[in-house]
Amino acid sequence: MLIRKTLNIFLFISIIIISGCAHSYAPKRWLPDTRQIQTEAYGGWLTVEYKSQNKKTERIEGEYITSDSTRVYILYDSLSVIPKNKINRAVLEIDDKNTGSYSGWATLGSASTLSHGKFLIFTFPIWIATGVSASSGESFRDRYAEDNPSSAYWNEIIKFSRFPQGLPENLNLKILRRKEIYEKK
Amino acid sequence: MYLKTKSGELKAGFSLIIVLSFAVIFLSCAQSRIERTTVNIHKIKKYNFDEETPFIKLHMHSGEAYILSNWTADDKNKILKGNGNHLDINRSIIDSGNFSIQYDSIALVETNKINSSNSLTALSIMTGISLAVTGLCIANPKACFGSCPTFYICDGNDYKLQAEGFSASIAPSLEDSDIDALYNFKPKSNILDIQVRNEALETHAIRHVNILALPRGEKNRVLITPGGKFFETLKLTGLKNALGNEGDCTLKLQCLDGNEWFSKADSNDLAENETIELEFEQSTISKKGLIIACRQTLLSTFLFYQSLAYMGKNAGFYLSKLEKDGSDLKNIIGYPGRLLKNIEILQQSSSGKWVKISQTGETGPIATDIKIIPLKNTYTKELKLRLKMTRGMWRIDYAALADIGKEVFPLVIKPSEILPEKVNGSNVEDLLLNEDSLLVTLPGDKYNIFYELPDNYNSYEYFIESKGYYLEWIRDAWLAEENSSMITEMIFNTNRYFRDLAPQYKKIESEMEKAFWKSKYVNP
Repeated sequence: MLIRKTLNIFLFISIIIISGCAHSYAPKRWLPDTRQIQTEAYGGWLTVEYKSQNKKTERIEGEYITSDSTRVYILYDSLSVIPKNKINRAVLEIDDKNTGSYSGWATLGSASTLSHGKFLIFTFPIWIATGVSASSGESFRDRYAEDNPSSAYWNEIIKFSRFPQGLPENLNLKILRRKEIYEKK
Repeated sequence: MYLKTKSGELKAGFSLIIVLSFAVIFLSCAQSRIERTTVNIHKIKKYNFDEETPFIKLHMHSGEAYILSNWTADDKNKILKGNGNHLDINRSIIDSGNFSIQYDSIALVETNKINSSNSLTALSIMTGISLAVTGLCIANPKACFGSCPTFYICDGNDYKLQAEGFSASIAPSLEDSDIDALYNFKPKSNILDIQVRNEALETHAIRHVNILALPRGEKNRVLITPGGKFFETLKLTGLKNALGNEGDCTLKLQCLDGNEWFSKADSNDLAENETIELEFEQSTISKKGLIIACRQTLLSTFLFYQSLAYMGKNAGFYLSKLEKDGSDLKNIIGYPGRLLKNIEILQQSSSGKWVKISQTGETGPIATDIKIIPLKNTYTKELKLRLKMTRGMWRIDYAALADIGKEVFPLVIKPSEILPEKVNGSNVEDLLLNEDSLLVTLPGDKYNIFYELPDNYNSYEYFIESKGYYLEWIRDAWLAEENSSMITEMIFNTNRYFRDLAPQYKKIESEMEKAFWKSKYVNP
């Protein structure tokens, strides 16, 4: 009974802490660790929502290959070229976040305040607030999201594409291959 | 007075926690860690190879890329040299090693600086704070809150500490009663609600807790002497001058305001004495008494806990010997305590000689107690007194003279109702009303004791009289210090014992008070 209660409390704390976090669209293990950004040359994971010809909102996601003044190039199983003016929303993710680890850390930290006696009155809410803030902060950092993205948005994020210099001249788009999912050791 | 100080410390502590928490929460807000910069190759000289950007990425016009470390840019020959990998458009490695690349084949140069994580820093700080709170008692177990039952009175909003009971009664054979003035208590009705708490790792055995009501004139107060007599006090004479070993302390002793005078213990000998000389100028010549409000520093707590630590696993044996072998052993074991002086009051005679009149002092570091010491020859305009005490052992808040009026006798008020915070099924009223029984409390226990005061309740001064004893719990951390030769030294070579312990105490003295109040706790 006590174990069940404790587990419920842990679950409740975890839910509170993780509730304000941003969702990641990238497949598991696709994004590199933060430090690995320095030593690989792929683009970030770009998710765009756009209006298709039949006026339905559709979503395309994959590696951000590049963009020019009117189009965005996204590669996953195949290369998609989306007109910028059709895009309602774009989200670019660059690296793998530690949101889960931080939430777990904050949950254990909150639980550890049981050893604080009456100071728990102060330390428990501070742990919760720090946990929510840290997990949420981690999930939102280095994540570029914009509704109806402007040209300034595309100018800002192009440096996170595979070809920040723009699409190379005479490049045969058919030979572009997607990044293999990164295997963590 | 003392309560104001403690409340102030709590407020300051609370404010600090709030500020710190906002800082930590603010720190943990989203902030970019990845600083990516892309520039034209001709601006490459603006960038220096350093530890923060150990790699450079070259995006070629062809779509291929180089990732290099240990790179150098030769603007004169328009060549960039470095060591690393050459990647194709799908980022597979074409070649590895040292490369010399012509500027004109490079479209863009990219660097990535990785900043530290604010979320990680915030969580680390919180973990540090958390561990500090958790580890407070483990790191400094002899600074942990402890000392007998504490008595609180509700002021309408909150319970405020008023007194601590029978601090010197550390074993059943040392059971004793203790009378503490409820000097700041002003009744608002004829029902008095006192909360008795066990806030330390101790077992308290309480024989009784009674209220003593002393009749007094409208503007008069009643104070107790160290001998246990009650006197009505009339006009007060303020302190003119007070000079301690470390200089003037008049301001600290002039008001009963929680701003206490205290000194540090001697670095070489914890039993070293010090003095304060007090000067009064009387406007009326009459029989006077010296009022002193004081409490102990944590020196006595440290010595008590350290002695228990040296007893280690044998503490039970020593205490049971104390129970069995009676007064002789009590005298031997009690000697170290007697060597540490209460506050002795000396008065200067007409010949200039200092003569001891009496002594006072309340055992325990928690609540300040106030007493009056009748003086002998006070029929001179200028009166000089000397306080002699163990250095660093006392916190004195107030010293003044008062005209001593008539002796008064207490009306003993027994509890009318007792309510435990947690219902435990036993009839606790009987336990406190029957002198043959004891109310035993454990860490975290709280009991509200109600008393019916006289109808003209504002015409009385109130004291709390508690009787009982307590048993200190031996902490795990203390057992590591078990040392029977130090116990032998404590009993048979006490002077040396106090000298040997001086460096150990001096190491923690300055932080001990803060750690003590922070560690006040409850659940074991």
